[in-house]
Amino acid sequence: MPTHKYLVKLKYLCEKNEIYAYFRNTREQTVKRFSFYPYFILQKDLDAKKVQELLFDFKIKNFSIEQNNGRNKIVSSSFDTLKKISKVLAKTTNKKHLVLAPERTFLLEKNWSYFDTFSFESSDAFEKISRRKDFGFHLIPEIAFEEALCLNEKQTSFLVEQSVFSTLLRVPLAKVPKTIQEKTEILLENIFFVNGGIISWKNDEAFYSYNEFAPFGEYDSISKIDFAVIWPQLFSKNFFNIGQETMNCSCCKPVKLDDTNLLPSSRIEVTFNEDDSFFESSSNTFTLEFHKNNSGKEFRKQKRREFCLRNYPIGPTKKDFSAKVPLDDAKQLLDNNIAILGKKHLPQWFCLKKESFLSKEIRLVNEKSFEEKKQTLKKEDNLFEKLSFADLFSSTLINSMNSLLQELPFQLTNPLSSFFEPKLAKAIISIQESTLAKFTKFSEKKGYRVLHVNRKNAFVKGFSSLTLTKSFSEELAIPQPQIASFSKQTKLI
Amino acid sequence: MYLDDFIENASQTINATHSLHEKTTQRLLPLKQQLSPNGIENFTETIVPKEFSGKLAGVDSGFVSKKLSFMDLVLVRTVGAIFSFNSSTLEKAEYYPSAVLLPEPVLLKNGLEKDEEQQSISLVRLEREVQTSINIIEKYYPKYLFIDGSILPQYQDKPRKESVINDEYNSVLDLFQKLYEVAEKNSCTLISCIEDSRGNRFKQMLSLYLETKPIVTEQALNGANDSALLDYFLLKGERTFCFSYTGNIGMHPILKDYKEKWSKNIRVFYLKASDFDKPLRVEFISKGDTKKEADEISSIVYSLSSIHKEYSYPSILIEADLRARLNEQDISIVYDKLVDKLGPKVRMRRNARPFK
Amino acid sequence: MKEVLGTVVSTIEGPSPSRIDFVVNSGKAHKGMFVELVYSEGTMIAMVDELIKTNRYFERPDSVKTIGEELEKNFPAADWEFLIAKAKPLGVFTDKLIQRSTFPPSPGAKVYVADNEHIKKFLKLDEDGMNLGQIQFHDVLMKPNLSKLLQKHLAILAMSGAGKSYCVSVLLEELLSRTDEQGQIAVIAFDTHGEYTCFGEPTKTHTDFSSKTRVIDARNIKLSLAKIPRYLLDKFLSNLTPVQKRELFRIISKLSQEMKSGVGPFNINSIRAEVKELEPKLATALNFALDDLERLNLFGKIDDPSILEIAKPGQLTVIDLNGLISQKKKQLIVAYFSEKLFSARRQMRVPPFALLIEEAHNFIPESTAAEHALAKSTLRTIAREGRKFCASLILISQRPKRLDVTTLANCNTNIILRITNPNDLDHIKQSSEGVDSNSSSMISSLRVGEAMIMGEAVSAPTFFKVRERTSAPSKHETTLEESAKKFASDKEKQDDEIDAFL
Repeated sequence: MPTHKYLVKLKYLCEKNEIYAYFRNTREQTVKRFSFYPYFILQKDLDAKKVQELLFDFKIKNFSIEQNNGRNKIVSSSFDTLKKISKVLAKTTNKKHLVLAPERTFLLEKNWSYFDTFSFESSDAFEKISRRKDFGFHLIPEIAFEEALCLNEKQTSFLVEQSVFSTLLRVPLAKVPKTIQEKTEILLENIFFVNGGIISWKNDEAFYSYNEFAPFGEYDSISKIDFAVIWPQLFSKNFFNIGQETMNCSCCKPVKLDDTNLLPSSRIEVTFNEDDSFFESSSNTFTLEFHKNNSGKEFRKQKRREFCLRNYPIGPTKKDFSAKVPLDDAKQLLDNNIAILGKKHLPQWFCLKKESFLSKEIRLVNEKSFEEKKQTLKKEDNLFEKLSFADLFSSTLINSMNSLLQELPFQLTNPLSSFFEPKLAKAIISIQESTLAKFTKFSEKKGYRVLHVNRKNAFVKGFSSLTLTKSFSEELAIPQPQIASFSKQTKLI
Repeated sequence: MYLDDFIENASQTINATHSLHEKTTQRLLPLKQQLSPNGIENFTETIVPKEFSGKLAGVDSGFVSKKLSFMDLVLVRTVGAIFSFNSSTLEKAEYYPSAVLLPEPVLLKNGLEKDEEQQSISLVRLEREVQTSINIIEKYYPKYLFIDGSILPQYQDKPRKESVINDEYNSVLDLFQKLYEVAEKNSCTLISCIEDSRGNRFKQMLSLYLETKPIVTEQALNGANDSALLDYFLLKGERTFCFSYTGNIGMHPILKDYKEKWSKNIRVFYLKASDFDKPLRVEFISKGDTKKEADEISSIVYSLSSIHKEYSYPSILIEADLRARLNEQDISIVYDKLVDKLGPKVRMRRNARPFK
Repeated sequence: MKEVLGTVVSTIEGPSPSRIDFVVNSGKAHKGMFVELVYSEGTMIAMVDELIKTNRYFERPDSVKTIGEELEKNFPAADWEFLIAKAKPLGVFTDKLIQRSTFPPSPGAKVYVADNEHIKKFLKLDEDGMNLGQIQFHDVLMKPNLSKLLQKHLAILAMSGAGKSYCVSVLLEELLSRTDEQGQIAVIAFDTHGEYTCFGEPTKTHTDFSSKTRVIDARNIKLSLAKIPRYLLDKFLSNLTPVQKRELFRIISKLSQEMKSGVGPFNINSIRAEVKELEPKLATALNFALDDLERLNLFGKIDDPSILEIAKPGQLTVIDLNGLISQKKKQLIVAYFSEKLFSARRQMRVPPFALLIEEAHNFIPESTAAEHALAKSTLRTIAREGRKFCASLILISQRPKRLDVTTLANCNTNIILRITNPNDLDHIKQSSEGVDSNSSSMISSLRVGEAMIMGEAVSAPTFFKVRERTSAPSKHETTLEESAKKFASDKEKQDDEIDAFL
């Protein structure tokens, strides 16, 4: 009869080049040893031979370059050496490779995670199974999980949550970070590592981060509409296929303004027909960028003050003067005959053929979440059953996956993140801004008032916003945003 | 009622008189082409207008008088107009002494009788006019000089023998003769034009003529003067024959004081220059060829006088008159200044009436 | 040595402090000419307001007719011609000051053509002033001082075709040509017929003012709903009951409050969203009213353009109302911007400005219902109080009779071109003490391009000829023949194209 044990701990022994994996259940613990050499994936633009030569020049010898699934890996017996190699490459090639802790690397290679269930036929024959059993004992060894849940639900739930993130992020329980941003960062590390992505590009491109503020005071009859839930889907292949490696591909370059793969972050050159006119951009970041880099600051400040605008208007324009504006703004200006199309554009587009790894990963997580949900739904028939560890773990897993996914775009646009890349970040933000702007416009046309939007939520007056979100989703053929809450009186945060 | 009757009666009388004159003249019309008593012209001669180029002058004066308590104040202005014509078109107009002349106040002798007053006033005027004429001739050498009124002083201008103003009269007489001389010397023809003449000389001569050919009775001619008769007799553009100023120089109160050279040669004719105005009496001093002179003079007088269909008078005299004319207000300035200076004693008693 | 023009004569009426007659001895006198004479009080300046020629020879019409051509052939008629000039003393000045005429000159006093420097001094013209043209009969430019001309408001009155748009164009050229040192004001022109849009077009053949001119098509104007004064909206929505209006204003007030809290500006749709929550009948009525507002295509979240953009020193902003058919829309635009500009000026947020209003009688009519004259009360306020804040009005009208009397009376300077309508002339006489019956008759005989200026800008009514404009003429100035020819040729072209296509 096979026994089930959970992977609870990993330890890398550098001198032996081995990973010790600890499997436990309530009765026993098994430790398995695996040979392991830390490695990282070499960025595909780099020639293996040249890298080798380069490293030899730096008198680094304790490494090898191996082929694996069409990609080169730099393998070293020493984790420190690997880190050194990474630094050298970063300095010389401007490409910083991701070097993860050997334990995590091991888990990613194996596609295992903490608290995965393994079925042990024998001490040597074991395999990972998908079915999850209760490992609450590991979290709370002193008493039964259900009892602990009754005694201190908050603390117990917290422990479960930590275990969930440990699983998801492939980090030990004790190393699960506190903030969602740090967690998302780890997720990105895992994703980029597995896909051979590089981090921390040196870039000269200016990035403007717009600080949103909520209108003060309380407002009545407000529907809070959650857009954060739809971003992960929106950035995946079905919609925008966001990914650094697939952006601006050579195979799908757009030729017209209404080409479907043009990203809203594209800068389209327009020539204005009028002097001294102003318009409101659909993009707050572009507004900020424009305000900082163009004369007429006082005018814009005055106008903003005078009309209590949420942001600075774009202007004052000069007749026959050209500027590169976001795609949506350009279309609006052309439609209203305020400008004519110029020639020197800076388009950004996504690939219609090849899916980006980010998109893939997002899809995978979404699928996993969906599967998990299905499992959860089956069990919800009996309302009187007590909440078990498995249930809690499952629901926490779903929520955590969602929260990680939802945080993903924000982390990618966070300049403090290692995975921040300006073009990608702008693309993500532009998609968010564009969608929210379209939502606002759509709502107004339908007779709704959108009081405030930020990158996560929209606040709509009235309680009949379900119809609104449905029709909006159908109109734009995008996932439907969720109603987060209805409030009789609330602040717009 | 009385006034209406009077008007009615007067109208009838005047109409009747005019009607009589007209009928009488109608009957005399056949005479027009008959030889006149002067033996060289017909009764009427046709005036031949000729183009004139050259200078001609005209003198006129204006005067107003005001009675002071024991003497008379006269304001007189005498102006001569000198026209330069070229082919009967006026080219230039000059004035002597000037176009705009301040009038001259003159205080008449005091202690004059009523008839002497008028004569004195007239003599002052005549003296100024004649002197001005002399000066014009000597300065401008006009071919013709027109005089407003008779070419010689009138009977009513001559004072009584014992009058204190006889000296003035004689002086004027001498001046007139000096004028004739100056004119002759400078080849200037003097032409007098008299409007509204009451002369009867033509009628006298006609009456004599009719004694032999009684076309009309003498009574028919009664009540008519030369102008009245000739108004119907002459047509526009016609003149009468020339005749002497008087039939008896020796009896004439003025001409008898003249030198014979002048008294014998003053000639007269009437001409009609307008359809609706009375004939104009023209006097001149003939040098011998009376007809020729009359033709010449009538031509020039006609040209200058036939401008208006209801009023015939030489334009130059009209102009001179306009320049010379005075009105009552003009003398008031002088009068008022005298009164201011001398007080009310200078005023006539009648002018001092407190209530009006 | 100055040539004597004439000599003062004695008449029944004068010479008196208010009238002198003089015989013109040499040279020419003209109606409207300035003359001067020196006498015990100083130098008297007078204006010839009538000229009479007399000639004794031509006193009797029957004689003149009868004599005909012979008159001049036989009489020195020309020598009898006298020109009598009747002049109105305007003032007396000495080295120190200018005062009104209180003592007459003597008959016989010599009259001269007024000296140019005296004219300038007397009329208080300014070397840095606005060159509007040349004073008639004198070699003096009509250069009134900017403040005197505009600060207490200006009215330009003339019948159609008399040249008032041309005159206004000259005025605008002067305003735009002023340098910083001379002082530049902003000019905002409400151009009913698009006559001044030419200032905004670059040109090589005329003086180019395009860099200083902004032309705004009124069809593209948007007014901020949040900023519209309540009283304007009240007049505009005259079809709503007081209860309905109150509710609407309550909503607008609420939205304004939210706007200030950070929600941002609102539009008609935002109001509709709030109206949805009202009781159905009320909501329906308000929705109809909102439909009316929406149809105007005039309201938006923010002003476009805003007053800060249109009021710039040394700049002309032409708001071209030519494309608008709706009189209500025109009224609202004029009312709104006037109100906003004046309010901003009081707070010193905009520079001193002049508001030019064509067809002013449509915007400030004498007697019209309030909803058809939305701008009236604001413009009246500006007329009354604008000078304190250097907010000036330039009113242009060809129907002074229809213009509000109070506002017209507040225009202390008038430039009057040709007007023949007796009602209009009477109206002007009543509202301007500088116009008497002589001036009135002169006004009706002015030719195109001649004008009379009077009031604050000059110390006496003065005739001048408007100078030639240097800017490009309006393209709207087309003749009937040209228009007909163009239509025919366009039609021919169209027919040819259709034939080619078929």
